[in-house]
Amino acid sequence: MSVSDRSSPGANGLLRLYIAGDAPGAHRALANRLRIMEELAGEVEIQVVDVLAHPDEAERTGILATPTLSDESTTPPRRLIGDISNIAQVLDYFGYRKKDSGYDHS
Amino acid sequence: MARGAAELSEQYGDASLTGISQFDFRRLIETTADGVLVVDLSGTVLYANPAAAVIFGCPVADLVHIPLGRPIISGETTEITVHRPIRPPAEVEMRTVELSWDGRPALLASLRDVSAHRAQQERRRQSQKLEAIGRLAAGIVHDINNLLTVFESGLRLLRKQLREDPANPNTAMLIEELLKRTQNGGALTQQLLAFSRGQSLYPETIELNGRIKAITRLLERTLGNGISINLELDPGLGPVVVDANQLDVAILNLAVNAKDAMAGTGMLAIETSDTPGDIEEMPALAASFVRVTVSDTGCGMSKEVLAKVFEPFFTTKGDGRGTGLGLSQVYGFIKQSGGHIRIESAVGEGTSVHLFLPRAPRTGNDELQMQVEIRPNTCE
Repeated sequence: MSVSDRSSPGANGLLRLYIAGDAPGAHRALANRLRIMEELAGEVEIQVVDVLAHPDEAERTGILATPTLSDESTTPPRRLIGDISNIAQVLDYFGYRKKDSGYDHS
Repeated sequence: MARGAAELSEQYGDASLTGISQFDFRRLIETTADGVLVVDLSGTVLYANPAAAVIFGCPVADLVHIPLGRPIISGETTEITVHRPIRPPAEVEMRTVELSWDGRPALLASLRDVSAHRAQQERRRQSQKLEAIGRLAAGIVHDINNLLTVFESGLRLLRKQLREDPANPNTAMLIEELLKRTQNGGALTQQLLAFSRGQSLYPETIELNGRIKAITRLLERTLGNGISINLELDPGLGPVVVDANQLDVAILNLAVNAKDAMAGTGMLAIETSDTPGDIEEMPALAASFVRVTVSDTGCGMSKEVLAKVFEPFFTTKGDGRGTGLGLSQVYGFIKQSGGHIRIESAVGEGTSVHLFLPRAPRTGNDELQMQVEIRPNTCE
């Protein structure tokens, strides 16, 4: 499944990861956040927002489910919900290209 | 909404569905207990059934057209948390497949609210912990009695000295000694309290060696003087992903079993290995798991007993000494963790319980499969 309507892939290099406290998916999402940032070698920063600690932030941004990885530089925001361990799928959706590290992480 | 139902039936053009009318198919989707969402590739909700609306805590009309986000296709069920107004968040299992909707590619996410099931699991884990604490408490009664005996003797001696020669320097020494013993007893109860207060959490990345050292400090005080503990911890051990609290309970259960098997005398060994392939026929295991082995020099088990050890309430212990839930908890913990368990034992040869725990993810979608093997020792 490809995305063709993205005008400026990885526009500002900032994504937000919305999680919910100690929920089962939260730990996995946090670990995958590090993998994604490592994969892109600093091209992207992923801010973490715990919606249980900051419910107002979730309400303001309209987050209904977590974990959600969100690019809020677009309108409406581009969002992925669920397990983000398939990094290739994540990068493809947000229009980032994997850095060639000489090591196959897949 | 009727449009959606019609297209779903076209998408699933299975012969078994050909006799179902569009109306019936729509009714099927709208009455199923699982939530159903159809979302376009930009993440906007195109269709929601009533069950999905219940999960999200809002009317169907409010759910349709909102920019929810694109559900990830992972080929398997994933867990998400749904946040809704007024009601507490719901733990939801989600499975996503591709489909065509109104002639365009879209995604169908089926949602199942497992909050009640999760709460039930949590209650079960708590009861298992209480069970383990009960076993632990039974094991330390002897130690507490010893401590009380020391206090009683010391206080009697103190009373005698105070009556006969209050200025004797031995009086002060005795008081100091008793105070030290008080601290020992306090340390023991603090450790017990810390253990009982720990909450069952979700799997997390932990450093296994450190966790084992911490629980061993508790074991040293409770297994009795006749049992020595030998730790062989692999310094190169990688991190694992388990419920740390359940791990403590599992190690404790294995240690208490070992203590009973050794009748109060012997050696308990806890070993960790970053290369579990050294005892496995399946080298691939080493890539996904680390091993922790709890061994004893006790009476061991026969094949007949081995075949039943994971059954809840199965015990070989006398009345009042065991409930048969110890190894059952260990099995449940391993199953929950996506790990493996293997027991080697022979009558008179002792028992080794090998736990294979999943490594912290390094490459993402590790396929972890639970497997249980029970293998009598070949030296039997």
